[in-house]
Amino acid sequence: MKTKNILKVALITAVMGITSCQKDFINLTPESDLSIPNFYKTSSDMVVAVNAAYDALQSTNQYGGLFFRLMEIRSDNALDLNPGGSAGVNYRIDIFAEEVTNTNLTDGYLALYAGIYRCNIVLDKIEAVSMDATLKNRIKGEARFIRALSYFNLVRLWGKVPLILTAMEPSQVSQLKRNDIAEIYGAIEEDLKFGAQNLSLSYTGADDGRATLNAAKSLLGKVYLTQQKWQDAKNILTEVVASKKYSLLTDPLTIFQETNKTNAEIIFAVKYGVAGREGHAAWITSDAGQGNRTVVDNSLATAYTATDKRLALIATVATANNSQFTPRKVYAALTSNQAINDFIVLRYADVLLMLAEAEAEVSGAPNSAAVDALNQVRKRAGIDEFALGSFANLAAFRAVIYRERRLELALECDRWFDMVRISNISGNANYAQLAINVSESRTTAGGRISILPRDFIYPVPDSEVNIYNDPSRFAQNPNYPR
Amino acid sequence: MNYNVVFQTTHIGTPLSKTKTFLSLKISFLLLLTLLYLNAGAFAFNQLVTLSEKNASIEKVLIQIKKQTGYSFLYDKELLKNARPVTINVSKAPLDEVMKKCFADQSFTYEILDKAILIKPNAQPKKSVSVQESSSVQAITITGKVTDSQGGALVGVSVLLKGSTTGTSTDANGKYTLSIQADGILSFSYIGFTTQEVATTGRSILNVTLLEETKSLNTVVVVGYGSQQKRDITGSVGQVKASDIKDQAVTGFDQALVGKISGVQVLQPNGAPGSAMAIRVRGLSSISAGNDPLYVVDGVPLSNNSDFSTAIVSNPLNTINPTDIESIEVLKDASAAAIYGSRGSNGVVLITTKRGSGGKAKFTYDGYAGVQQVVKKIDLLDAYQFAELTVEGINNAYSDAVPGANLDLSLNSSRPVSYRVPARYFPYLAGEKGLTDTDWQDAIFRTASMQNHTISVNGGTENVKYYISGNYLDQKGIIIGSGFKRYSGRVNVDGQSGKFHYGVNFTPSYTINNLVKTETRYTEGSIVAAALSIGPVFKVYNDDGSYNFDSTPGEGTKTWNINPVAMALLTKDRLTQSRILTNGFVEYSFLKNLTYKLSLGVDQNNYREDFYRPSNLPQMSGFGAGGVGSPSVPVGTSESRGIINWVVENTLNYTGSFGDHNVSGLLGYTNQKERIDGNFLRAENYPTDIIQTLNGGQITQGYSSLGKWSLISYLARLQYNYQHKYLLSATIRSDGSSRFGENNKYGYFPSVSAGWIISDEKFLKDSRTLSLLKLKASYGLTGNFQIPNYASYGLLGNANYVSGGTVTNGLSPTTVDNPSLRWEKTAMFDTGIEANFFGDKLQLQADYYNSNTYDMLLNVSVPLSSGFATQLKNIGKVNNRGFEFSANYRQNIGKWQLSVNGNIATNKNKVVELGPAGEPIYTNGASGSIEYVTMIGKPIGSYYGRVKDGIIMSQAELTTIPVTNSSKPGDFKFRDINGDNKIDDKDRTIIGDYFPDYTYGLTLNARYSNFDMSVTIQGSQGFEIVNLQRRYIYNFQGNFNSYTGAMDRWRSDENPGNGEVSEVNRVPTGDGGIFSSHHVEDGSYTRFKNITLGYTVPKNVLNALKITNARLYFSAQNPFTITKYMGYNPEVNNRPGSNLSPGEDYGSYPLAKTYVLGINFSF
Repeated sequence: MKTKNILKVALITAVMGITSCQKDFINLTPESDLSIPNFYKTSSDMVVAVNAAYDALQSTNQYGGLFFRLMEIRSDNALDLNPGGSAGVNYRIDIFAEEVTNTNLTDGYLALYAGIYRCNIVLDKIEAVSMDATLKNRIKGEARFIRALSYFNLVRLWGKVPLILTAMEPSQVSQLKRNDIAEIYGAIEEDLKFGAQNLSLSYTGADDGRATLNAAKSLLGKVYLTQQKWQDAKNILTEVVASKKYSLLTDPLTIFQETNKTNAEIIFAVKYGVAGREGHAAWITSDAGQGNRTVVDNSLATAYTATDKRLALIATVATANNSQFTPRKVYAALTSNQAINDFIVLRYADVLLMLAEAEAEVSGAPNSAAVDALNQVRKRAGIDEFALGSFANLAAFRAVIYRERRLELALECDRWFDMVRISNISGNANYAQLAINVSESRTTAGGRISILPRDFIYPVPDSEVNIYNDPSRFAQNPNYPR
Repeated sequence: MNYNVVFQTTHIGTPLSKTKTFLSLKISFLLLLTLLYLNAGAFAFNQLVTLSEKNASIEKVLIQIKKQTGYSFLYDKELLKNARPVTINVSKAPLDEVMKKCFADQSFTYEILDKAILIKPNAQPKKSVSVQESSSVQAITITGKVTDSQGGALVGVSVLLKGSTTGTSTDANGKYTLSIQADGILSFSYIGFTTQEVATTGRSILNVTLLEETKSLNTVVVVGYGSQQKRDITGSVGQVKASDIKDQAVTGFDQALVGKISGVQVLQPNGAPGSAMAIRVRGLSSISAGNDPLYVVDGVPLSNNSDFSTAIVSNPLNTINPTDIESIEVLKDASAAAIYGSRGSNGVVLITTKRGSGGKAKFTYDGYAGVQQVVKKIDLLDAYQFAELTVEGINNAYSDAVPGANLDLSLNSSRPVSYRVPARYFPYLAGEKGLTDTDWQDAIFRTASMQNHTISVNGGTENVKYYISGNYLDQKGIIIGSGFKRYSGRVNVDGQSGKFHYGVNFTPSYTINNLVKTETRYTEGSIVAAALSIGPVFKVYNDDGSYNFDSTPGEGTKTWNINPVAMALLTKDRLTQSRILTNGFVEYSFLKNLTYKLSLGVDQNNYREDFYRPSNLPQMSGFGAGGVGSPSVPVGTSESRGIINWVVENTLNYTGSFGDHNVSGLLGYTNQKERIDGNFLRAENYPTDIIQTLNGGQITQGYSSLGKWSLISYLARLQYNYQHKYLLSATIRSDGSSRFGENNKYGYFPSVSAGWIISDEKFLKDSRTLSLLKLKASYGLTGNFQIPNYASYGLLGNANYVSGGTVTNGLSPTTVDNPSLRWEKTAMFDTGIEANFFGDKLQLQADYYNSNTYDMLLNVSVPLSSGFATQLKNIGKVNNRGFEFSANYRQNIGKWQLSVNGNIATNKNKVVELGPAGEPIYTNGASGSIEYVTMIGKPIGSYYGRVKDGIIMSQAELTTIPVTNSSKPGDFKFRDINGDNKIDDKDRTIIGDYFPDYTYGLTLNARYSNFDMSVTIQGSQGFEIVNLQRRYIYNFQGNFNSYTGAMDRWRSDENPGNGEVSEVNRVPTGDGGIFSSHHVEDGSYTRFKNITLGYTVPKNVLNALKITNARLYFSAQNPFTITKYMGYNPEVNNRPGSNLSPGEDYGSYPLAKTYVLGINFSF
């Protein structure tokens, strides 16, 4: 009897003891997801981590779609004709009536900072990883290039923003303030100079498509140009040209083809799409008929001369199997929501036009180098070249180069920034005013407005102002909300 | 001798300590008494007994008799204490004779019932009567008859003169005669009836009607890890018995719970067959974590986290056949739920299934079959009205674009293409008869059949009892192509062997759910949204029988409405679930009052969903084939989840009495763990639609996933009462969970409660009207652990890129680390009063509660500059408070037996604290823009938008009021909330919420002879629905069909319509599409949830068929709903999983009204 009882007790104790290693029992770590502490250990981890920084550029809320609204629909190049769609958030960007709560602003702001976070975590973690020094510097250069590009977009879209150069906890970030524009540009330049020194001239094979030293230099050129640092711009862009790494393709139509993703004109592109993966929704489409979505503004099409080869890039073509239309420049053979054409961020024609502008600005008048660079682009487009003497003064040259930039770089997310940049050079908002004056969208918007310097940057997301809740550190941009 | 104060009965040969057994015996005893009454005088004592005992205890003798005859004995233990030893020597003597011998000279006597023998005190202490007679000069003789409420004589009623030992009992005719010295008070008491006291006051005839005691007082209520007498409960527990939910044509028990328990809101967010209900106990306590209660089936806490991506969430509880359910208890307050610790804060639903009662196998069949139809159809324009609307919209847009344009349709061809009127509308405008006029609602809805069959067997021996059932349910959906089937079984076995008690429950089930796409907008393929919005001028089928895919309302405008009939019938979406829930337990009684129980539960749950969208169904959004009839890219997916969840529980139970002090205690230690394995595959590029499994195409995407959680818990409960009058209870549970951060692994959840049965106090004990008055109060802490498995870790997610022309891996953090993450806590105070009157005929119950949820798991907005939008933190506080009131009343009038149960509950939900700066949380709705705000002082997920104040009636009015820059006459007039004379986003305010001011339920039961009837009415008052469907079918753009209200539209200054409906314009102005009160409607409703008419077949008919009982019934589910809401279902909620954005109607699956004929019989 006694033994029996002991046995019973033993049995019960055993059952209770099955899971007696309590601490282990409830300490479960993710098994199908990685967590921060067990990653960022090896050189291959770091490659994978920096890939994620590139991936941020692919985001729907960056080059994958949203930038098109903030940078092209905003300008005189494209229109959104859908006041009802998505509660009119795109339409309101177009007609300069966006609310401070416009989701395009919130989404874009977040996506850019999400990319910056990915760069920062790479830069924070890589120092402790023992790995090949060249590769380490390459990864750092790539991360700093992407970070610079992101800040360059941020500062042009919103002006002053918090400058974050390490991976910070949200609680730390909420202690920050909006940094001055000069500080942000300073950091951008530092990052790009690092890239220019540490990245290679080219990457091939499995690494094809990574940011190169010329990508860093070209972007730095644009950064200088934006700040009107003409001499610096001229110097760095001259280096890009002198590298002889790039050339203009004969036929502008071939630059953007999804079958011609690696070509001599592309300096840096956001890569998309392989076999139905990593694709994007078409950047710009309109429905059959005249559609009620996004269309190219008539003022753009009429700005080309009839013989301009680039006109065909603006003309819409039907997408395959589809009753939708899209400009040829951004054409994607859509079979699903996985368009595979790349988004070209920097290309040689842009470098030439920037160089032309910088040369002229440095000299105070168009010089032969400036006109030559301009003519290279025009010649390729199949239109008349200019003689040096055909420009009466700098202003005349400026007018031509600005127009050429619009025609060459239409729908490449440069136009709105150019409109602001040019307005800043002239010291008035007249150039940016074109975004309204020539735009057809006015006819449905009910009343015209004037573009003010306020409109050069967007309002920062209302939620961000609210969360800081401290106007001394984080105030809304001047004269917003409208 | 008063039976009903503490009357303990027991079975010989069964353990004395088991409260539950004891109570169920008591109930069966009452039933037996009724039987006795029915068969009065029809005893047959043909049992023979052989006995030889000398000075044996009476109990020993009785055991012998029981063994030989099979008769059970029912008795009061106290009674046998003073029993004299028995000496007897009989051989094959009749039972009656043996009994007489044993009971000679005892202070008690016996009565032989149908299958048991009742031992009772000697009813007529003749000696004392004679003493009184001798000392009395003028004795009063009182005679009378004691009857029940239906006039039936009650036999053996104890009649006692109060304050004396003088008494007698009623005879076989219910009559009594009693001599007393002087007037006094007579007390009539009888088991199962309320004791009644009547003053004689000179009367010599005193007829008394005794009222039946309601069972509820003695009802056993299942509570966490045990059960309790209802009377002793100090927490707040709602109970529903099988009989309360029977006859309803529902797939899950949760649907049958609607309106039955106060404070338990059972919401049906959509009507898809097999879809999940949302049960909300006392409001909504959590913002980011789940709000579903914990479900515990036969003691096994289930996990309902299916983690599945399907829009229609299959209800995990569908696998339980409602017919198998014995009772459902809902633990509402913290003191009741705290025993479930970190899982208790949303309430706990305890489900107890039917168990075997032993004896000869008894077969029962329950089944019904019937039809379902959509609850209502929405009034939409017909083709002629639609054509007129569309053309007017095009014309108005044209006039705006080209001021002064000539609208004459003869000039149509010279208009710009986008303002051209399509030729198809001309015959309609000309009023030609017999044109296409499709009712798309008729096209997608059908009268659908439904049938359900359950057969069960119940029986066993004294020591092993079983309940076995099998069920088949087939519910076709009211939308073509949808439907739900269930095959399930159950085996419950209980056994007893010495000090061991054991049991096994085994529940396999398999469900098949054919899904159709709803709950989303038309652009994403919602069949309902498409059917409502597609123009009636379009045909379902072309003349050649193929589907028509042309639905373009205007020339220059394309609206991507895809033929909903084609979507429903061509797409395949099949979700199956197979679940086996097994649990077993062994109980061992160490001592009389101390029991150890080990229980093991295993829940294996496998889901699989196969989806195929064929090439002959065009795509609708901005890519893929959209042209008429052009092939699209076929897509197939296959997704599965395998869930295994096991739990081991060790509990130690003690029950003891020390004089008037009754104590019970519980100690427990449990472990639970779950593992979810997931798979997903997607294929495209199918060469044909013939092979629809993924091998027919090329795999383009795939993943597998693995998630786990685990829980270690210690629990304890102490219950104490003094004379069952002063009640105290305290519990504590400690939970260690894998889901919480490293710094906060363990949580402690204590509770206390107390009750006072005032009616047992001397000053109320004698009340004739008041049968129970109880006050109770409780306070406790519960938790909520419904957050993702690894939420405390900063996780990395895929962020792949393309490098070198191939996809290369990228990984980046997707969430932010929070090692301090822990459970949410809810502290709830509850106080209540229960009052029963007239022998419990009228029962009233009222509760007030106030609960604060704090340390909320909140995805707090963080600066976007951090790279993240939110971080999961423990922050913020939500308050819920409310009153609950319920009343039951039973009354028999003649042959009518009537009962009414009503309940009403209020709940006020209020956010008290939010993130660090208290900033509101804005949430997007399906429109893609902000529709919701969660802000301090307001309910969670309040609707947030502009306020529409009618229509700008004229050009004159336009100049006098603040408008947006594009407003015109005929556009909406918005309220200038901030008074800045402009209309913009700053004029948004709270325009409603999903939380009703009060909810109510009313159930009426009536029985007359063999007929019975029951009606359940239920409703909610004072809440709103975001009818976002209005963005399409009430947008006044002429691109979709419209509510008929559009007929009253604004047409001109002179013809402004009813002032509520704007101008129709294909290019709308004035922000009409921006979220506003135009899209919000009052959801208040009263619904007849169920009406049942039943007929019980008379016994004499059945006897011939060897059927013990049979009942036929007709039942109507959701037959009528009274509401002003324009959609199908005023409870609709497109995103039941999202607390921040509730109450949206956007192409939701409508509810069905169901009419069935049912039968149940047993033999």
